[in-house]
Amino acid sequence: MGLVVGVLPGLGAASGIAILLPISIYFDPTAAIIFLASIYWGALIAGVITSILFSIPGETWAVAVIFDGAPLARQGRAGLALTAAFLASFVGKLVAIIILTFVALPLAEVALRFGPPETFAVLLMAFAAVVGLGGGSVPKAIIAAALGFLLTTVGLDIVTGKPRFTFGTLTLLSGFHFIPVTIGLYGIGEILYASEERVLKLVGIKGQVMLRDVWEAVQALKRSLFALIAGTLVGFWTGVLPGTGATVAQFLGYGIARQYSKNKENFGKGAVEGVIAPQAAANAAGIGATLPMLTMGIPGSPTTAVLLAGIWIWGLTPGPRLFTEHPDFVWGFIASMYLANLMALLICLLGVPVLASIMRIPYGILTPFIVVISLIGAYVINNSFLDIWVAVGAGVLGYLMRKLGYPLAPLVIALVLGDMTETALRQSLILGDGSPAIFFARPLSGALMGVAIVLFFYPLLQPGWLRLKRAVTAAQVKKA
Amino acid sequence: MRKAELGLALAFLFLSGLVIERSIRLTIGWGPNGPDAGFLPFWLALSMAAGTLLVMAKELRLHPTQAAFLPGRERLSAIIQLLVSLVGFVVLLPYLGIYITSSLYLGLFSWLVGKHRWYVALAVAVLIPLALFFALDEGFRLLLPKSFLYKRDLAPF
Repeated sequence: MGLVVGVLPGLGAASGIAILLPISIYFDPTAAIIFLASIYWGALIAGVITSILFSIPGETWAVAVIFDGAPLARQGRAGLALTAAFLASFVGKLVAIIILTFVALPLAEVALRFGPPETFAVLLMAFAAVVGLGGGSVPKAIIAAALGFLLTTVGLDIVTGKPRFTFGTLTLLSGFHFIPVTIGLYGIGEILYASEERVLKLVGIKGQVMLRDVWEAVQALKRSLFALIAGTLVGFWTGVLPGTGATVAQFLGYGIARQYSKNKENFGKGAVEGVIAPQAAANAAGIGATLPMLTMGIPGSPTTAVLLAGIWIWGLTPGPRLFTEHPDFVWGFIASMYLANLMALLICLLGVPVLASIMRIPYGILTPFIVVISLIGAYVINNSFLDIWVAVGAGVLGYLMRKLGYPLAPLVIALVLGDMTETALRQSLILGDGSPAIFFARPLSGALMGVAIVLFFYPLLQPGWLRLKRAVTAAQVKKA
Repeated sequence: MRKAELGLALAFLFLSGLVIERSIRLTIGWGPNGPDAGFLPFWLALSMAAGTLLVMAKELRLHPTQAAFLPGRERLSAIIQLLVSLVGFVVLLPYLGIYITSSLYLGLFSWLVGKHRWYVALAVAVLIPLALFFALDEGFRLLLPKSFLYKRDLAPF
């Protein structure tokens, strides 16, 4: 069930769970939560399918995987991308579940100390990781990020209740939802870009299907062990933090993998690590998010918020007592995670050959098909025609940006994380009475801010550093 | 593509100017609940403007001569084709509903652009929307835009 929901753009895990919640009342609580949570697990793994194949995010947390997954698919290696993503998801989840099994309570204590400044610092890190490490020009990355951010400000301002940039129209009051924009930027933008060379026509048909892909993917995983592990740990931690879940984790995972990778330039063009890291992160986050949910009754992510509602409905109270009074519920839940993870992986792997072969359909048919699906996806979010126009507009923008070398990633990240970031920023400033010093006064956020700043300025320092080195070597050569 | 670079940068610059002006109207200072509505947009637009200035400066410095503005004629036509058909699609959508519009789009596109044979195009135009209908409308009960036929109860789509 989760797999199906995850695949469809526009239909999210949270909605799927919410819809099925009423039915679950008839189950006993343990079965109920296993049922609903499995939707989450399935969606976490399968959300990448449309992301990789069509550049359309299947889920909120399947956006970062587009950056490198879609190029891979275009190069004819969709099977590899998909398999790598699934395997990474599986491992990420598995490690996270193991950590969860042993570390439930103590971790929760630390996460409780998180306030707005810390949340802001984490989000800033996600930004910085991608902007600062952009291979391309930094000013363009900043423009992209600023643009994305500005797009999120359109609509009703949460804090003051004033409408912003709506130009007097009612339709813009709810602002731009990031899914139509992403669908436009990546899906349609890609089609426009590729149509210049009719490139959507596919490359080399892989006769031997599954095993070869699995083998390659496993190799890739072994090589990118760092990306895998870092992604998982970062992701798990992010999931545990209240409020931030898989959606934030994917970008952090991507950014960190790129930062420490030996071939940074390949990111954005089809580096497998770029697929492995965000997936491991997002999946680990999904699991991690259940931690505060169970131990403190605080949702670790938007989707767990819905699961939490379920817990209340079934008459259970989250907290330490849940562990002592209803051990079967908690441990049954955790045990089911292992199982669901495995099953999801198997089903997805079996599906890979079928999925990959979708890319073999000729340009003339595939293109309009993708367009239709994209527009449907864009429409379905809010049943709004505006969203369709947004997608088209974003498509044009995406095309222009690609042609002129503006990085798309910062824009999308800003779009997804913008609201959260702004809220965290404003709350923090209120706490600090208007002074930005609050971010550094608190030890935890101070440390995180430090990391964010370093990541941000890394590219600026790098050329300077290189020039210095070259100057030194040149001087040495002259002497000799 | 100097003109295009500058053009886009200028567009961004214009946009940031617009945002700045609006944010000031929304007040950029502190309100009763902390930073006011215009606060963040103002600084964002400012950064964006700074970015565009940097981009323009770099462009002027690196490419003092003019290069081609846009991709060549042929490629451009492919893009225009796509864009026009896309816009046409969206314009027709509220009237003809998703299934009829997609059917037309798929059929015409695969025939004219994809240069497939007419029966392939026809098959595509019929089968895909049909499949979509059963999957999305009946299966997932999604609310997709329907045609005027539907609104007059003449057809289920």
